[in-house]
Amino acid sequence: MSHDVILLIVAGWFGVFLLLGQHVATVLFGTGIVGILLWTGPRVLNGVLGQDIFYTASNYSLSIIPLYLLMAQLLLRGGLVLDLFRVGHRLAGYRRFPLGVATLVIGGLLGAVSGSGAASAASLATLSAPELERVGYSRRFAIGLSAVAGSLSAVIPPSLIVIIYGAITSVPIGALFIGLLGPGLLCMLVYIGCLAVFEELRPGHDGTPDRPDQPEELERGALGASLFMIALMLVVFGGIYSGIITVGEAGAIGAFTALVGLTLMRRIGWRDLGRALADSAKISAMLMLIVIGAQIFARFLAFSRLPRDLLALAEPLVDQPGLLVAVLMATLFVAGMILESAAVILLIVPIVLPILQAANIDLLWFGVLASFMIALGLLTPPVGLSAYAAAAARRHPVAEVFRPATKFAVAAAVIVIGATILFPEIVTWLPRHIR
Amino acid sequence: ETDLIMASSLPQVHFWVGKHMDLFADAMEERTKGEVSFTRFYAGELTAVGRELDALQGGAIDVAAPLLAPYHEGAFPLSDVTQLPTVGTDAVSQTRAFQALMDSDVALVDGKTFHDYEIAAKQIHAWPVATTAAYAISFAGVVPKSAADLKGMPLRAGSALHTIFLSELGATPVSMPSSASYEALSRGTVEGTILSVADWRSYSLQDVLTYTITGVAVGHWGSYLAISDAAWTRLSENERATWTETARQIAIRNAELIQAQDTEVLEESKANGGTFADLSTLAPDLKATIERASVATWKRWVEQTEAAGHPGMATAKLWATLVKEQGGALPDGVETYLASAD
Amino acid sequence: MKKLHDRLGQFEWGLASVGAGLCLFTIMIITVLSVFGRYVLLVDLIPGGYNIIERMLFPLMVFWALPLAHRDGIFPRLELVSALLSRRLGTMIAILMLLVELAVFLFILWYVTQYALAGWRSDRAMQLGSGFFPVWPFIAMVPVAFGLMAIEMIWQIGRHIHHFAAGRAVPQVHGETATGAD
Ligand code: NA
Ligand code: NA
Repeated sequence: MSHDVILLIVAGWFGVFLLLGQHVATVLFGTGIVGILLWTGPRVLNGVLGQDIFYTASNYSLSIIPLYLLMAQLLLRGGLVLDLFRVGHRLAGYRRFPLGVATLVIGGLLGAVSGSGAASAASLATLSAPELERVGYSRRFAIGLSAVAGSLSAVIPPSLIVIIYGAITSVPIGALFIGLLGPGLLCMLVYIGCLAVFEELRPGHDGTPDRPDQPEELERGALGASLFMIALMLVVFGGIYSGIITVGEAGAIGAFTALVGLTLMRRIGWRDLGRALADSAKISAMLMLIVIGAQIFARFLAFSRLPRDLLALAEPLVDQPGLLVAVLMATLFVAGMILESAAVILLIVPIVLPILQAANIDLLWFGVLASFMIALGLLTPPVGLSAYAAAAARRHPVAEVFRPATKFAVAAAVIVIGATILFPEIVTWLPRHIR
Repeated sequence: ETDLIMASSLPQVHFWVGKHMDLFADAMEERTKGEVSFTRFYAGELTAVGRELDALQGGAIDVAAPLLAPYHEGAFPLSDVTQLPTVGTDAVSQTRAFQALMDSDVALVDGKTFHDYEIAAKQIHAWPVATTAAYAISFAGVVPKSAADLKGMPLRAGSALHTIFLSELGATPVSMPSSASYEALSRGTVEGTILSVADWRSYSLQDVLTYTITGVAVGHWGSYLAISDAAWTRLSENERATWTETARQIAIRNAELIQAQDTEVLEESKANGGTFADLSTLAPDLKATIERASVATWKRWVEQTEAAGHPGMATAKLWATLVKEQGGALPDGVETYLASAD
Repeated sequence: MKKLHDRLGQFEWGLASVGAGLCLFTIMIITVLSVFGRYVLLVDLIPGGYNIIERMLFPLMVFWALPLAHRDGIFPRLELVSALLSRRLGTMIAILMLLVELAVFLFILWYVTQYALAGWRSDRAMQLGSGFFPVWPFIAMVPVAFGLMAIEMIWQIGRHIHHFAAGRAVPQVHGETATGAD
């Protein structure tokens, strides 16, 4: 069979089974295996499948993932999001714009202890969307804003996408975390700007905020719990930034501190711990199956030498790194729209790595940008898990929620990515100054 | 015409790839006038570090260049012998000693030679690539003045033998792959490492390592150029002869280039303020501790290897002889220990 | 049949909640202890902790949690097209997808079983501190995980065919949404 025909079959398999709703990991396994079978015959599979499946899961860098998931799970189960929300709400004083800003800031704080955007979006939608509506925002805008705030969990470090990028490229994950801090904060500022520009009011609302009947009293301990969360954030980032501990150790210590703190505050019991452990393990296992599937797919890519042909094709772009990065970012934005974010990073990075190296592009800078771009896919149709989670939590049609959410994502893509390309120091300055 | 899939788990900048794999493949293609050719894969595209044997045996690749024996946990129990501490050795002398070890007809156990024991049963044919330059003890930002300074100091160990050596030193061995050592060293997770100076470049360690003890080699890492039996049978008699001769020559050339790189990186580091202290210039108690740890490493390696059912003592004795034949020396006390077993 | 499936579910729940959960807990404790040892006691409290996490605990956690993650339906997939199809066509396509998935998994199962057996025969080892430890028991968990997932697929295919024949919609058993790297 000619190589072009094989590539067509493989691309067809990938597209058809992905669109028809097969699990992403299975699509990757199937595509990789069919590709290798057609390209080289069955003999090489003996040397690929068994060892790749076990040893891909036997990777210290990736073992960091469940630790960060565990920390976030414990905090969610300990009710800290609710407390954070109450404090923010109180500080905003029930006025429309400040309450919107507070929602975004809470999303950012939550993001600093959580690596995944869907869970955060769901809890924020439950807690803050009704209040945002009450002060005058339209329903879909209120839910959309919660989705945006929740998606910050993937934008502000720690971020699971970044851990996976670091694990497959050997760029130090600690440096990536620190590098993501600049764009993450800039993104929050952009969102606050968007809040003012894109705001949608409830029909019939005259723009003056409602006064709530009676501002609820801050429950005892809400402030303490919020301070605990901020302290935890400082432990994790302070540890990484000062060089005392590695990223993996920071995840373990963060989870452990959360466990001890919440137990002392009597906010979680054995049952919560058990559930948090099991859920973190399950989500990690799900992600790891995608990582393993992508590894098999990457083996097919290597046999086919497609990345090299692509490098030859991209030769004219190599001399224009700016244009090259712009093209790659557009590709990532589109891929992030349809695919699970772990799958995007796992599929695209092995293909473009040779091109990046040929063009002398800083892999730390690129990793931060790529992870940021993919995270925006949480907000865009057709698949945007933050938007889905927020819409589901409020039982609202997701198509409506996508409208405001996409506006925010596009603004962030243009402004943050643009600024980071023009001023790479936004990413590189901090990591250069860590010990 | 035979085209072989040749794969490395290391990138082209590594001296076992750019200065061995490519040289070997070019030479073979030239000497057989293209009758034998290679499709080359780099940097783990087809096989990962320590998984080369799986890939060869499973048929995913035809040639591993190199097959990183030290990373095949437990699979090449005797090949670790090149990692035992020596004195006054370099990449060229140890490569010759390693070749002699592979050629040796000395029976280690049950009439089996080193080659029989390590290679023959694995459905591969193998030749040594160059051994590395001497592994040195290097520190990041700290200068140990006495044995007490080393007590409990976290130092990175890259293999089981390093772990033995470091714990004998009184330090705390932290095992991690070389690729993780830059981050660990620059943030103080570990305060030093055992690595050959030539190897620093592969991991950008010249930026972080500031003080190095030389004069004693914490061994030299060895690895193999390996071809699967299935691929080997596809070659003609003549091609096999050319292969064997080329493998031998390129290994020595590789060793010369590695040794040159070792000197080059060392000079660069010195120019940037790095310090290199010979063992003989150290405080007496520190020097004594390092020497004692070197001998203890031989002893513990032999004991552990024997305990696992492998001919550790016979291998150590053979290796000691071959090292000396190439002009190298053994740490004081090693010979007494080896002789005591007779 | 249903009973057997429930029993298997309990087993998978035990593997994931007790087995994988304990692995994760141990990873956390080992890491915390080794940092504590390094800075407070100046010793390596758990020699080879890195190797234990990388080769034993993390793979165990992954392969023990996989079957339940699969059964609970948290594996992400694109639901764009299936949402647009009629019920009967949707069920037919779902059956086709499951059959292909089963074929892929059985194919993988064959290879990972061979690999696990080879590891057992050759006494495949891992480095642990200065010594070695058998790694094949951990590799053996891979065929266990893929086997359990294949059984669940067969069950799902049967369920879909049953409902298709009866002309009913296939009820969604699982309500959880994926919260992956997103
Ligand atoms: Na985050
Ligand atoms: Na999307």
